[in-house]
Amino acid sequence: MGKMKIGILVYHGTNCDNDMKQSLEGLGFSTTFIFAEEERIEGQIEGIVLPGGFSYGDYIRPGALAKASPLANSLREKAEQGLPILGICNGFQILCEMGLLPGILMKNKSGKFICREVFLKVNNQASPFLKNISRKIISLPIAHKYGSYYGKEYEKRGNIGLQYCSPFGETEEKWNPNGSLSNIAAMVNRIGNVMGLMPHPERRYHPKQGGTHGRELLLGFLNFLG
Amino acid sequence: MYNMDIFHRINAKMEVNRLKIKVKVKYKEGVFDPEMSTLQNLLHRRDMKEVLQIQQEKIYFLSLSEELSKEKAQKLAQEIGETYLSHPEIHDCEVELETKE
Repeated sequence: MGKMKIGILVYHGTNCDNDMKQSLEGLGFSTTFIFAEEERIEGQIEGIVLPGGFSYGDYIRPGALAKASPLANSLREKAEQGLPILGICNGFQILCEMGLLPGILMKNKSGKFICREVFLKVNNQASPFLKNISRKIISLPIAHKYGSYYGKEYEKRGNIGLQYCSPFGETEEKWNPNGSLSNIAAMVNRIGNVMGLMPHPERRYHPKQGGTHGRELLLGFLNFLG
Repeated sequence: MYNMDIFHRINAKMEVNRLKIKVKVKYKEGVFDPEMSTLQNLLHRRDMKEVLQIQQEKIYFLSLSEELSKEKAQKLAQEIGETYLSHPEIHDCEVELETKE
């Protein structure tokens, strides 16, 4: 059986692409880079990752210029075909700006860049990405300035995937690092094939990184096979 | 030294053939703006308690080719403003054509 092939989208200013490649290859996937200046997503690709970073320098708003990149139409087509698409950090912002996910990510309530570990409550039903996560609460690092989720009537177009919570799963306001609406850390579209999340699972896949809670999330790509 | 006059002449010539449009983008009522909230807190600490609210607005100045009719230019600016410069979820976008005097 061949390895599942994942395409990693690289915009100008994306900086988590190599981390993503290492973590996916460490988990047994094969990967290829897709550059956003190309016209189409070519070849046999069974999944797409939009890694973190600062696409087009975060000019105007994070992700605002990425939706005008030449590849955007092709990406939209792939999402409609049901291909699994995972957006992490800046990838989440891009998916929201493109309208593949509801809502928008605004500046953190504190106005500051936040880089720390958070606890997350998993909604296993929301998406095949989250189906096989055995723990109810996982711990992953966040690193962002624009991560405060805001969306009117988001529940009409999507489901909550992950929520910031206490170590015991309480989703109170005091456990919310950035002021997100309903403590939202990850959003999934109605069908479940497009997911965006602010925490970085690729920074927690190997025990040497201080934890392996991101491993099951990235392995969620396998749930889309067959 | 450079003869700067020639640049002025070129600029002046280009100015003539331009339609100027302002695209104003601001937060909708009820959307939290952390920057202005921080500024307001700071002013309150400086004993300026009279400040009740601060709002910011961003203005983009577009120069369009005069070959476009005014209606078309307005439509184009509206499209650019609504798709790229603002987000319908949180922003109000307003387009204003600058008239020549």
